[in-house]
Amino acid sequence: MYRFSQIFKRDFLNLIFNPMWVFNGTLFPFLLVLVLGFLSSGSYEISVTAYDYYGVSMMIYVIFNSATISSNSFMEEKIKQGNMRIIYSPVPKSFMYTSKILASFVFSSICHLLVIIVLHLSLNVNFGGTNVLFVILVLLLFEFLASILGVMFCCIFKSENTANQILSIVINISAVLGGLFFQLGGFGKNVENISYISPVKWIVTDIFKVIYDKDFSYYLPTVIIIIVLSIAALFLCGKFYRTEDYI
Amino acid sequence: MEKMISVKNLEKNYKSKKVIKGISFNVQKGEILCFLGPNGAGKSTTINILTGALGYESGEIFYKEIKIEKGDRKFKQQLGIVPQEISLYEDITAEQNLRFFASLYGLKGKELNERTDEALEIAGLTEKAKDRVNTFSGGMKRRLNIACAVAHHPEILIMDEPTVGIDPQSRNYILSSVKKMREKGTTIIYTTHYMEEVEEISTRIIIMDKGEIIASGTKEKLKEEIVNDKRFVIEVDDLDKVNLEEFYNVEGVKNAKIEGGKLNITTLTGVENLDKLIAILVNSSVKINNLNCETASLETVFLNLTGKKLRD
Amino acid sequence: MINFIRNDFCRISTRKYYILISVLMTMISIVLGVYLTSNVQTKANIAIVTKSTTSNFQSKYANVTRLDKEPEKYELVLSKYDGVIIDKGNGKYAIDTIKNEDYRKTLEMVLKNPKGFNPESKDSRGIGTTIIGYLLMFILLQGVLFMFTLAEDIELKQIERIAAAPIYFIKYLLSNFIFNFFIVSLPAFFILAVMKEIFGYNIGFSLLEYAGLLGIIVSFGIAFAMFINVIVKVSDTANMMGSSIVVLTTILAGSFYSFENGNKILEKVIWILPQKDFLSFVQGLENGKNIASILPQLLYVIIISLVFFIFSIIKMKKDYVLRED
Repeated sequence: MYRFSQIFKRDFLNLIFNPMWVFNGTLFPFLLVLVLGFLSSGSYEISVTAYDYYGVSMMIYVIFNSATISSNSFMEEKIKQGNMRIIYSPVPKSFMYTSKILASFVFSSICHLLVIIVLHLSLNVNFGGTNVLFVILVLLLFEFLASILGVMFCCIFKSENTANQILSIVINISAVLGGLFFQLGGFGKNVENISYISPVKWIVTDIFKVIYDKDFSYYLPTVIIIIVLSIAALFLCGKFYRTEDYI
Repeated sequence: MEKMISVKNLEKNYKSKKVIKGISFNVQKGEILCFLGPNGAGKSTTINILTGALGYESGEIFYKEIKIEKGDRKFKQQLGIVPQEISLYEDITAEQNLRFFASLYGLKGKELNERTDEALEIAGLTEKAKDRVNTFSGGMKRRLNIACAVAHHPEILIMDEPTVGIDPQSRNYILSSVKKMREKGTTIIYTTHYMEEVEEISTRIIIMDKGEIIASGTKEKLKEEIVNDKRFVIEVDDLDKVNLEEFYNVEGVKNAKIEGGKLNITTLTGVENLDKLIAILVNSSVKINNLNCETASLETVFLNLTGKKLRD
Repeated sequence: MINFIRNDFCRISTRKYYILISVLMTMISIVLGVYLTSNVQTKANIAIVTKSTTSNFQSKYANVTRLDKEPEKYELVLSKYDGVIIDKGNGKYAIDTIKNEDYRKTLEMVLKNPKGFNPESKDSRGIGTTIIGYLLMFILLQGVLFMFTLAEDIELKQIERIAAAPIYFIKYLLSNFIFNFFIVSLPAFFILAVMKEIFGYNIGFSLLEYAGLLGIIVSFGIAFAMFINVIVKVSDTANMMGSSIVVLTTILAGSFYSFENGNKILEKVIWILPQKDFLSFVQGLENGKNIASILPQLLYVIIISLVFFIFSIIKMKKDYVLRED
């Protein structure tokens, strides 16, 4: 436990002292919501504002995007040299990637929770009122999945660059299909059905159901799916991670 | 002497190519075992297999007569690794690097503090403890690279080309640190392609080429067994007066040639023929300005074994 | 210069997956653009909540769905329904929508005269504009992706070696530009050609027009990618920053979806984005507008591209050729 905590601490500090990541985790999401909300504000009335929509959808987007943070903390060139020594040390092989996953998860979660608080206080974004904890739980579980995915892609593709390129495409296509940037409802039933390919779609639907209708019918299935995907991804990390690819 | 590590019939493939071809060797307690060989010989691959970073296709590795599997943590606990690449976090201080890596070996609290200070002293970096690594010179980074490997007092220290690309002062510092560690009882495995380092520090040498061990032993034994030549390098006043054919009539002479403006005569070590060689020169009215005798060097050993120079 | 381009091709041959990703992204975006324009018409979605089995509300400008009970609010939030008309019986109706006041008034008009409902026709996008809009983000992302040649040279310091060589530095930069230009534009053009000539799809513009349009936007993307790499100098960070900026600005510019009725000031500010001007030019071209009236927008894109490129040259020369340490 001590050795894991030391590695975790180092990984976490590597993230927190990187201004780029802090910007990415805090200011960037806030600006995203602000700008998109501003642009669309005229299309909405008072009970549900553009900020209410984009506050949630953009948080889901940035959470998904934080997969690139974990892939970076795993294999970024600057950190890779120091990380190599961990391979030589008498710690289980799994510490190498689990500590990165956990550090990215904790770092991103803290940043995004702060953003949620600021969005609620400054732009009055509705995150569910009395049900806010349920919404945050789903978001945190998704955050965890995203962290694992970033590391998993690195383990599979053996290169942080490749992992990030592919992640970027997967995330952006999922985001567009999931209706995060603009609703796809007006494009008809076929497009609506296609959009369910994106896991982001289920998450955004589930969260809006909880917030606006206090309807938890999707909640448990969504949580279970995220957990199952996380376990599967973690298993794949173990399967594909080889110390030799690091050397 | 106690066997610390035994390697038997180790084989490693990379893609479809055999890079380690069934090598076997032992590492005795308290020795400095140097792996010598050109680039691509398999030295670093062998080292990385020992450290558990690379897998292998077949073979056995024993630590104190007990067979170990890849990644055996008890074995890793006893190892200190100085990788060929500088494995440090450049954005943090020397002390922070040391504390972190030492903690991976279970050091904490007071012991961690003491060992960190000790390692900084060994590396000669006590005054630079609070400075960020990215402000260090190449030599200082290499010294810190070593300090991170010794803070936890390993039984076996593995150093993979630790002096590549650094200034002579830092290199000397590192070599003297290696000798001091050996005096304290640490067993050291050292890979290099610098002959001078091997000459200076090794107790035993393993010469590798193309994934095979082609010779092993102490430097004296290797020189004796493999090289039975010595070479006279004679500076004369007038090379035109020298008749090279005459030297071949002297017993033991293998080769006589003019190289670099000097007369080079290679002869068998066991044969005392210097007086006869000098007599030939005197009879030809050649004035001798200088005479040197070069005995076998490891460079010659290597050349004889592999047919190439070490730095090819 | 040929040597640099040849070297770049050698480097990319070891990263075949880059090309695969590029081709895939381009293909998906074009196919989506064609499909969505040909088969899908953006209509309003209106729900009628009534116990009556027959309904007067039919409109070719809206998808009207009859429901037994009111839809859940999240369906309004997710635009499954833009508005709900609730039959309260005895000829009384209520309207529920989360859209703005104008939309509510439109729905009231629909109530009064369902068959006569004829929303204002917007300046709609043709197939060509839609395709370009969908392609836009992926082209710009590829510009950032394939700039790895320059990014690596800067980060791993090969550029110092190049700067020390007896060549014109601008040739090196131009060769990066040319290499990226072909790698990004050729797959897109090829797929468009296949869709038009082999599958017979209507892709809006002629192939020559597409060549020109692609040429402009690819050049802009490459110039921007150079600019980012020259400023940031760390490959990963430049990649991430570049991708984030591309995604955000392209969406804001309305490449997939036109943001309307938003903050008027911000709408004007958005015109700073070259993508917005480019899309506007493309739309004007497709709608047959007078070239003179839309030319300024095109010129703006070209000028911004030149600014990025020239800045990159000057900065790199200053950092690597004429450096003062």
